[in-house]
Amino acid sequence: MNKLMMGRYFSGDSFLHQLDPRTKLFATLYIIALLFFVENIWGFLLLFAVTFFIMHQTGIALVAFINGVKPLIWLILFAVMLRIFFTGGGIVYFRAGPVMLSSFGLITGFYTFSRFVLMIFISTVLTLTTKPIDLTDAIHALLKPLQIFRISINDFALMLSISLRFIPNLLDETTKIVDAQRARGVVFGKGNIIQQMKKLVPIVLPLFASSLKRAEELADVMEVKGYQSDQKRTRYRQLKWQVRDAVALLMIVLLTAAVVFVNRL
Amino acid sequence: MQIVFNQVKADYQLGPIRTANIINEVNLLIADQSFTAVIGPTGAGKSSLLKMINGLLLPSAGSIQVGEYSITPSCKKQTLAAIRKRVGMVFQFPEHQLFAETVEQDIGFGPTNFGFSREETRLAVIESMGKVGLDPALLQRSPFSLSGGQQRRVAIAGIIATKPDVLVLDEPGAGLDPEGKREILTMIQELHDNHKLTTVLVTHDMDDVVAYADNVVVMANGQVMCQQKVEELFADKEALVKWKIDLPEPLRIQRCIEEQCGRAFSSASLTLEALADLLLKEYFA
Ligand SMILES: Nc1ncnc2c1ncn2[C@@H]1O[C@H](COP(=O)(O)OP(=O)(O)OP(=O)(O)O)[C@@H](O)[C@H]1O
Ligand SMILES: [Mg+2]
Repeated sequence: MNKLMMGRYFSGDSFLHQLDPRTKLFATLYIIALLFFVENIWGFLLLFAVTFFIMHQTGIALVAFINGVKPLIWLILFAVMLRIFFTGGGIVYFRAGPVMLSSFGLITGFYTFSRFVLMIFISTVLTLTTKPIDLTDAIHALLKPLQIFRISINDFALMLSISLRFIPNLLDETTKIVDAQRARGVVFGKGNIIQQMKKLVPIVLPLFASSLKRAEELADVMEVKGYQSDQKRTRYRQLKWQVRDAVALLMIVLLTAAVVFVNRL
Repeated sequence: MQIVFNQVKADYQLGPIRTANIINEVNLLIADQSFTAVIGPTGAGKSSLLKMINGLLLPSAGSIQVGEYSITPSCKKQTLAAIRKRVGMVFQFPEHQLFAETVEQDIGFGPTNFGFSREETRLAVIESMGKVGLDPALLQRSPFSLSGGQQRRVAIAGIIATKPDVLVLDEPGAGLDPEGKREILTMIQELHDNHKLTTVLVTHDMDDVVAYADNVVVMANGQVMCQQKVEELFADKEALVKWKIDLPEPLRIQRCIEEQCGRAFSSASLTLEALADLLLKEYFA
């Protein structure tokens, strides 16, 4: 069950919960970009401190964020290993063909690790404190400029909100099917990787079958109710810019200044 | 197999969040070879109770004795596997679990998992198809190409193919037409009788309770309110009102007639025949 929790919205009334989703989405993307401008260890320490502060502000237990990293940990470690063993420079401790261990490699390895982890933490903050539906609105708002290229943002936003809308259903259904197959004697988490993959078939196929059926039904229902995608739409939920959003943006500016300053150290 | 719930509590722990107890202080004895119906309002915890018999939902306190096995909060995987082999569980809308390319493979999935040999599996598949009344000609068809009622039969065949001693069913008739529902339940009753099964059935339909079960468990808010013989429960007017239990059709008719006559009859009739007899008796009395 724990794994299925990843990225689910936790209700709450923290500062972060109350921020406008557009601000949050923008700030998240901005901080992720900032991660790639950090050039030294002080910068990463600063961003770690800031990220942990933000995570603390959400009022959500640390486990929820750690759970976001867990499924990706092997991928992260793989990338970090590549960095560590194939980067030269500084003091070289060990060398065997193209593989080496150098002080420079260790540092870049640490940077890569920090970038991944911080990236996941900060985007988890976004998904844990923002309702999926608000997130869709925010994406819609940020994509608006694309309309001048005659790209249909509305269709895209609708697709996105429908998919997000059905994630909880899909998760519930997954739990049910997993239970049903366990009752039929499937033991998960046993055997080698091929055997484990095979065990996914009885889970994934019924899910596909029901998702396809549901998509078809939904499309029919929307058609019957007269939905047309090329009409101009009004919105039920209006997003409002508030003082706290200005405060948040100000903090982002300060963070940028701090990163620029720390980079010079 | 006898099933005993001993001071059982359980919840659905979701990551860091502990929910309230979904099953609370449940004590229950389901006798060997009995046919027990579980009733109660939605959200009472009926499905959760069934899952516990199969070890799909583990207790957070207390223990469940299933035959010689015991399910505890820290239960070994081997014990659970052994229990699941003996306890067949039919979920609500079991056809949603179908996945294999052919009906044969799907029904054979459980037996294979529980260590049946190829030959044993093949025999078990054919035997269970016969039991649920499926035409052997469907053996090589894709389960997805069958009708809803047939799919449900395939799903149930997939459960009984493992030859369980206990059969637990979560509203096996839901979503079927009355005819299809009666066929499925009658088939379950035949299985129960012919194979000396211990059967637990969750249902919302009191006519099913009367027609198929001999014991009834009433649940509300995660607790067992009472466990009785079916006739006793429906004879107990106070209990019926207190737990907001619907009446089976014949009893409902009897109550209407009683109201018209302005007096209560001596017994509660659960079948139309009993109602007819009762009316004759009351008329001549
Ligand atoms: N997978 C789950 N995760 C979290 N909570 C759950 C889960 N399944 C059920 N619950 C909760 O447990 C409680 C009991 O649910 P359960 O499904 O056992 O009720 P039920 O008596 O079978 O209801 P129904 O008659 O509607 O089928 C409900 O409050 C429900 O919200
Ligand atoms: Mg239920």
